[in-house]
Amino acid sequence: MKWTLIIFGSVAIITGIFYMLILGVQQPSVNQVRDDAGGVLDPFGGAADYFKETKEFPGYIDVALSGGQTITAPDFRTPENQISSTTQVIGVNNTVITYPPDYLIAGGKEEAYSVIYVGLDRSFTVVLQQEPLAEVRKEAENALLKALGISPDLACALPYLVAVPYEVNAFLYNKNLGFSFCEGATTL
Amino acid sequence: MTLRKFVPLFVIVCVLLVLGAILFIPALAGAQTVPGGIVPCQGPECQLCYVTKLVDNVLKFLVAAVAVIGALMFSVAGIIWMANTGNEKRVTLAKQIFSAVFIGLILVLGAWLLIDSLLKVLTNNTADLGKPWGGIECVARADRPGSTIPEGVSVKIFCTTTTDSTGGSAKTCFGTAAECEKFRSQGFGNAGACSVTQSAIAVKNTQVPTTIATGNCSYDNMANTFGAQHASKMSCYCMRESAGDFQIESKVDKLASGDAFSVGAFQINLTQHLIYCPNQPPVDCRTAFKLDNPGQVYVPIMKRSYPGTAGWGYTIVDRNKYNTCVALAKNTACNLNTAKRLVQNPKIVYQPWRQKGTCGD
Repeated sequence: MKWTLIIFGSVAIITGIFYMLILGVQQPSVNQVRDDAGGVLDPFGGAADYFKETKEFPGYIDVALSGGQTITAPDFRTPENQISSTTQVIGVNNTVITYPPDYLIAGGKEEAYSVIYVGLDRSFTVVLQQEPLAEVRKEAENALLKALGISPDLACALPYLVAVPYEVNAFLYNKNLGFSFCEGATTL
Repeated sequence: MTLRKFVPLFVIVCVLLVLGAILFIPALAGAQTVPGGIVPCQGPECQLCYVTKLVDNVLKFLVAAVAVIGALMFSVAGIIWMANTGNEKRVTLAKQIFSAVFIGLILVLGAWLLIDSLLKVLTNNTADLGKPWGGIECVARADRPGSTIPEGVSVKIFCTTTTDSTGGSAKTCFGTAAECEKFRSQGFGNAGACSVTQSAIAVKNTQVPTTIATGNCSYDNMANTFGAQHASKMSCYCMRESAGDFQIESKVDKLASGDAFSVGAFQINLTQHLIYCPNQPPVDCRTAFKLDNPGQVYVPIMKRSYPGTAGWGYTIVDRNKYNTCVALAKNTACNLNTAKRLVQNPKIVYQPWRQKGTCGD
């Protein structure tokens, strides 16, 4: 009986210590995961598998940031916000381009701005629809930050466009004016 | 073989086996420098934090070796005890080995806990304090010469870990702590506590892009629709006309009734054009209007007059058709297909949108 206890005790201690140590040593030592080419896949750390998945939680949407990173935000793709249906455009060489619906996140036709989620490339388009553009842009920025629950720093990493049609401003069309708080934004 | 010869031989063989195993198990041997090895970094990404990480890794390696040797000594003591039941001297020796190894292990593990905790405090890794196997985390920096990490701004995000039905875990990150906590309250996948993560986002990508790379009017999108030779021009026209809002109605091209006559992505002028939806007969929107004033029409919003024949002099005579045409002009497929027909007509290429001084015209 004494020997059985000793042997089982020894085996249990060895197994326990090995399990504990191996688990500990296998922790990633650096807060990043690299791909085969040495590029950084996941600067968030430990979430590489997550970024490979497309699964979204109900009521939430994954928003891609620059560099392939993703954050989760409250889903604004409600039926009331949908402004277009899925359509198929015939492209060059008769290729079919499917346009998923666009969603109006804030503002609208009668407002000073429209903040739109573009389904085609999952980007955000802010259209400034009247002067004064600086104030209108500020309002649109705040609306987008509130809708996504993000900070200005994160907003700068969104795939986005802040633009104005020619009929609103004849000098600033065909340009990404940028968010006012981002580097390189056009001063209005 | 006598016990005196057997025990040292047994210990030597076991130690060799254990050390061999440690050296040849990649996770323990440090076969890869990043991540998981004893040497935690290489090249220009190494920084002061990695010195403590290296000390931590060496400690773990030594503790692993000590623990395994201690366990083997337990086995040796057990064998001695088992093989010498009647020999009080040997039994006493076995008991002494047991107690010595036990006390030794307690001392080594205790010392490890203390030193590891000290290293964690020094490197601000206090989240897992008291858990030596939690490891020290060094955040790689991009601002070192030769670093392969994108140069970036440091942004705080708030992450929680969820588990799925298969036991897999994933990290879900939010822009604010409030959003993270709100998500947790939904009960998805037993989401754990929200913790702050510093994320480096490439500066070059946070600068406002100088080209129209995203949205409905992007160059790529226009290239796919109109062909590469028209992409730049059409992207500019698209931005000029709608700025990427394909549901937009003109605030200038308006009839006296207040109804817009230029609508959608390329602001198709409904008083002048048919609308061509793919695989559908064209819809002649012109029949929804009647030209009442071919002369100059004053447009209040622009504080100037425009030719009535261009649209401002028309009135709606068929409201249903007008509404249908507005809906078709807002349809991406119809608007782009109509624009494409205009572009592909060699006689009127770009003509509806050409305006001196814009888009290279």
